[in-house]
Amino acid sequence: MAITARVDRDLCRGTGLCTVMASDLFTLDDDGLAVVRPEYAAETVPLSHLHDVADCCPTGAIRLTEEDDRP
Amino acid sequence: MTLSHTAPPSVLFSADYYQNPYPTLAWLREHDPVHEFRFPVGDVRTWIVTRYDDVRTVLADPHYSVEGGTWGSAEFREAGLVSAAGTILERGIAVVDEPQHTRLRKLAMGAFTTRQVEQWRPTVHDLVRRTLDACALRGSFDIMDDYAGEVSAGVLGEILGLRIDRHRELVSALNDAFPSDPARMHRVPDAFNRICEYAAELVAEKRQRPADDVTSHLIEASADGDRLSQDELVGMVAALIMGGSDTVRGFIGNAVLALLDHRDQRERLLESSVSAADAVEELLRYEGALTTALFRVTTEPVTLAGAILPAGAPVIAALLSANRDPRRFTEPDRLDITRTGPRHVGFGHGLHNCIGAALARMEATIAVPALFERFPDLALATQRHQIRYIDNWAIRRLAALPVSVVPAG
Repeated sequence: MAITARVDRDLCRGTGLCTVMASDLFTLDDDGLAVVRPEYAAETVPLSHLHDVADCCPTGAIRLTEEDDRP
Repeated sequence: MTLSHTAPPSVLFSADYYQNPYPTLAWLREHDPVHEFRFPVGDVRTWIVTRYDDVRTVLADPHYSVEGGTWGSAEFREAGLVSAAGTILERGIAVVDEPQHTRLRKLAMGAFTTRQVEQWRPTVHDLVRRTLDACALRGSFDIMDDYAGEVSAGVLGEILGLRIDRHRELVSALNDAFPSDPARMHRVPDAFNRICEYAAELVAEKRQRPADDVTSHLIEASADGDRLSQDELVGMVAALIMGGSDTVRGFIGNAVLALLDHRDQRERLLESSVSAADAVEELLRYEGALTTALFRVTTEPVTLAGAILPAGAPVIAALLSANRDPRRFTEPDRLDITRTGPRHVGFGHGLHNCIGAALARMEATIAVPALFERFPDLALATQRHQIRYIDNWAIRRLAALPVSVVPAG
């Protein structure tokens, strides 16, 4: 199972919540909006914690997609 | 004005400072960005942080805890500065660290996401329209009581389920809960108890008669089989009452005054050359409802912008100052509703950023333009220099803003 995290930049308000909860994964760019770090490796963050971050985002801007690894 | 190099223009948290904190905050940003001083209540050794980057650090770095009762210095705790000490609010969402904070936030966030808040838009529009009708009948009125206060109390009523007749006593309890005057410290415990009692009543009422409101939603909220306990539920409702009662009212007042002071900006807004949402973001940056975030305390000795803070140090993050930091914003003292660029920290930053921000934004985005659309000739009904801010170190709010719907003379 692979998981992908994305930030919807139309919804993000740069509150910094995800960058505090999962600093390995998210950072704020020059505009102050959240981005997924380019070197991002979702497997380093426990799945349940990723869901916590997405659930806590005040603008619902974090999208998680789970996909089977099977071709 | 020439700024002295030895001391800020007015003493922090003095009467002059409350009326115009900006020269003092500018001086601190320039000369002493992590400034040690004695907090007036309890004469406690405290630090105030005024630059944008440092404010964000204090609000994001886990070495700065919101748990004053756990990490605060002895003098901080003994001065009674731990918010809501001895009540269930002491473990409320705004004053607990991880992992407890995430649990509470997850359970409550569902009621406040941008999408959830959208469904209340017609309710807010309707409330604003009715309030404007009442103001039109008066001809001259006080923005704070008759408009901003009515709208924010009405929204809390409809959306939280709060009975409107209790709103005024709650605002008075709130003012007692966060005093700026040491002589009023004895009222603090009773004020928090009154807020908790009311929240408990509201929860009991909604358990019996659930409705389509946030309190009922919180009673039902669950995540991964987890639910809020009775104490947590009451604490959450109390926290929402505290967070939502005076802040939206305060911000609408500040925004209306800013637009009365800047006719060109007001015209731009009414021409719709700028979206109301963008205008509100700039108004939040220019003068939001909070001067500071809630106290943080250091969990161990830390170095911040060259200053060394001991463990247990109370730290105040000056949001109002961060939003006027020229290191971050071009011409920060100029109101420009066409401004784009860096995010303001008017709703705080990091884990404890305002949970009700989407709702507050929606209220302001509707209420501020609607006032000027209904009353294009709205004008101050008093001299500009008679407009006063309340004496409060954390909340930036006007005491009154008398206006008239027809031009004076």
